[in-house]
Amino acid sequence: MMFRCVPFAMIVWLCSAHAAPAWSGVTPPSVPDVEVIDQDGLAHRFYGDLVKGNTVVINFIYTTCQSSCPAATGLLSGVYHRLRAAERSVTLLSVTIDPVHDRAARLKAYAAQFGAGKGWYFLTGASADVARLLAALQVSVSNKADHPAIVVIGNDATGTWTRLYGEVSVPMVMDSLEAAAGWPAPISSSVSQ
Amino acid sequence: MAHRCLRVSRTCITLGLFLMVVCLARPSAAAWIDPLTPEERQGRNVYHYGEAGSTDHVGVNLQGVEGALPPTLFRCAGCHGPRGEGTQEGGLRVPPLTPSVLRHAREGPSVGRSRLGYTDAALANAITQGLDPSGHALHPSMPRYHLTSDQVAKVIAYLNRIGEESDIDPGVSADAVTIGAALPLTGPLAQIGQDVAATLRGAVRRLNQQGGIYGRYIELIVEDSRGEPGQTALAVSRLVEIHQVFALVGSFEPAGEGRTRERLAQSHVPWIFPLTPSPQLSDPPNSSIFYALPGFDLQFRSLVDFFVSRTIPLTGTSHPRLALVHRNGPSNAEALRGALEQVRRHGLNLAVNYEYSVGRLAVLALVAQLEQQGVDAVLFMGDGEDLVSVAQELDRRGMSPIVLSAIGMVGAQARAVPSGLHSRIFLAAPIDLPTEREVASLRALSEQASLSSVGFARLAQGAVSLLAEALKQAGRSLSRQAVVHALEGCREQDTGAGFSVTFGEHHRLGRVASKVVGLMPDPPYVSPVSGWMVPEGEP
Ligand code: HEC
Repeated sequence: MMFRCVPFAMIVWLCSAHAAPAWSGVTPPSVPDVEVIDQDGLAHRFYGDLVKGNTVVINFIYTTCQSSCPAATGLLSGVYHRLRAAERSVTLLSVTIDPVHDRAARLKAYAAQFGAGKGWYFLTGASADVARLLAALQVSVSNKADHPAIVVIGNDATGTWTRLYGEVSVPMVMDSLEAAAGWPAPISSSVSQ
Repeated sequence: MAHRCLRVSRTCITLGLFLMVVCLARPSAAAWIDPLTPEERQGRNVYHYGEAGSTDHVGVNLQGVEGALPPTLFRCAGCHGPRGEGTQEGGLRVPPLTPSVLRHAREGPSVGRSRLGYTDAALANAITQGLDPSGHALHPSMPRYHLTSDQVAKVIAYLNRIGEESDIDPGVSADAVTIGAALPLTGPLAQIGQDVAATLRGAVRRLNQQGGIYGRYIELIVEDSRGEPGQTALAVSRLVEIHQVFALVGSFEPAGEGRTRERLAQSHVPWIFPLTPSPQLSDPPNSSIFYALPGFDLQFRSLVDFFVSRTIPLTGTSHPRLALVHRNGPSNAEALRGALEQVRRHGLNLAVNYEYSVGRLAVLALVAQLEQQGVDAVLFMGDGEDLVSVAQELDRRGMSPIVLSAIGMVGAQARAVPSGLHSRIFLAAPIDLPTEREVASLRALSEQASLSSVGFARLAQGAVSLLAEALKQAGRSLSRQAVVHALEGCREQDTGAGFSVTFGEHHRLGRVASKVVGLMPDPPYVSPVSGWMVPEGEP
């Protein structure tokens, strides 16, 4: 099993009155190369096939969750459509925290509701593998309904990583992506509104 | 619906009570009276289900997200709670929407941002623009809804009633719960339909004699489905839309019929134990339908497991040659899928795969082929008559392969196979055969001298007793969601009909294990030859 260490950059967000405290990691987590299955039933190596050399946005969901996951996935669909309009190649990874029940077919139905297409993977896998992935990305899911709303943004090529917590908006994600990917023009303002 | 209450809830409840007395005196013609106005009810449907009726569309956007999102995933109730109490999940704190909270000013910062109390106009702004009364943008997770002003007004009308006693699901009143069943009371299946209806009525009568549940009587409405798909869909829609039943029990589900299920999924009516020889479960399962017994797919998987573990020695070879004989049709498609899956899992040798249509079984040619191929065991998916013809020909030729099938397919006719082959026939059964006492008590319950289908009558009896249990668990302030939740909590729950069921958040099939029975020349003609077997590969 291959491991890869990725330094998480410490970025503090002070966006609005309800901006949640940003993650300020001290230990650089590693992205494990576990096997994951996407919504079409295809297997991938999480690091080797999906993250390596790419700019990625990762969030955590489960399909039976009532409020936060539709909101979080809706947010990602906004990011997805903007990226497509701007022709930016960013990989979106929505990882289920309930891999036992969220199998490929279920994730496919869920993904379809958000218009997910090429470049947006909904991922499940063996419980132990998904658990390792979550641990490495420092997502604690002791209780499914309590999972924190976290968006992880990273550029594997440059090693720039960010975590957004709490009340995240599409422009916030776009801004972090810009910073991580080092795009020349601020696409969040040119494509949005 | 004939009656609509347009005034305050107290009037409605009094009126409801009055009518109930009338209804109890004339138990045949009760109609549920909605304590909400039609506008409030429609607003409630938007709030709970993200649906504004069959024609109007609910549009959902999140701030900064182009493109519409699925309204059924962004139901107000999912975030703000079924009674507007607010929720907290995954770090998202969603505020309550009860009038006492909404209509009053909020002082920050301990309870979030300060804001003024909401007027109707301010509420419309919050729902469609995502702005609070002070003009601040709400949290980005609060969607912006594209609704007509008429629809917004209905949602606001409902928000004035949310969490009150009148805020109830259809079919529930202060002292009654109306449930329904769609059964073939006429047509070729009429005898079975009548027997099941009598069983349901008997079970409901017994419950009511014990005082109902939390002081509410159960009222059963039976609609004639005439035993065909189109009429079943109509009967179900009459039950849901005209009679406004709270839940369905033990109705028939004709094979291959998808419309009925879709309609129910839309209306979120809990349906306990559809009467079907073989449930068809989707993934994700329809959350409001609870099936009782394993279908033919699971039964045949258990059969193949049984064959591998118990009967291969009877064939005298360690690499037996198998034949699959199946009549085409939707319920056999399930059986076939299950059998093939398990044949593959065990690496068995499938020497013959013979398919035929109803009435087209060429017995002589088939048996000749079985002989020529030196088949050791036959997986048989057809009816009892076909089984008997094949068995007679096997017997005539002095052949005695193992024959595996399901009781639900071949039925009591299997008894007519030549006695020489009895010890070679094994049938899957999803439920224990009823004891004499159980049959007698079913007859007493249904007040029928004889029952044409004891199996369906038991499902019907079990459906009512499980519903009663769920109603008890759900508590006095009753909702469909609470009943579904209570059913999900069933673990080895006894149905009082000779079997128990287990459900869960993701499980809508009460049992997955089957038993295998062998034939005997004398009553009760079958006897179990295995314990309960969960097919290999099932969690
Ligand atoms: C995905 C979750 C979600 C859904 C679905 C949702 N809301 Fe909200 N709603 C929120 C959140 C979060 C807030 C808090 C906003 C804030 O405090 O800034 C909110 C706030 C509100 C408010 C303002 C409450 C206040 O005290 O200021 C109203 C009114 C409201 N929602 C109505 C609705 C209605 C009506 C629907 C359905 C048509 C709905 N919401 C659907 C998440 C949701």
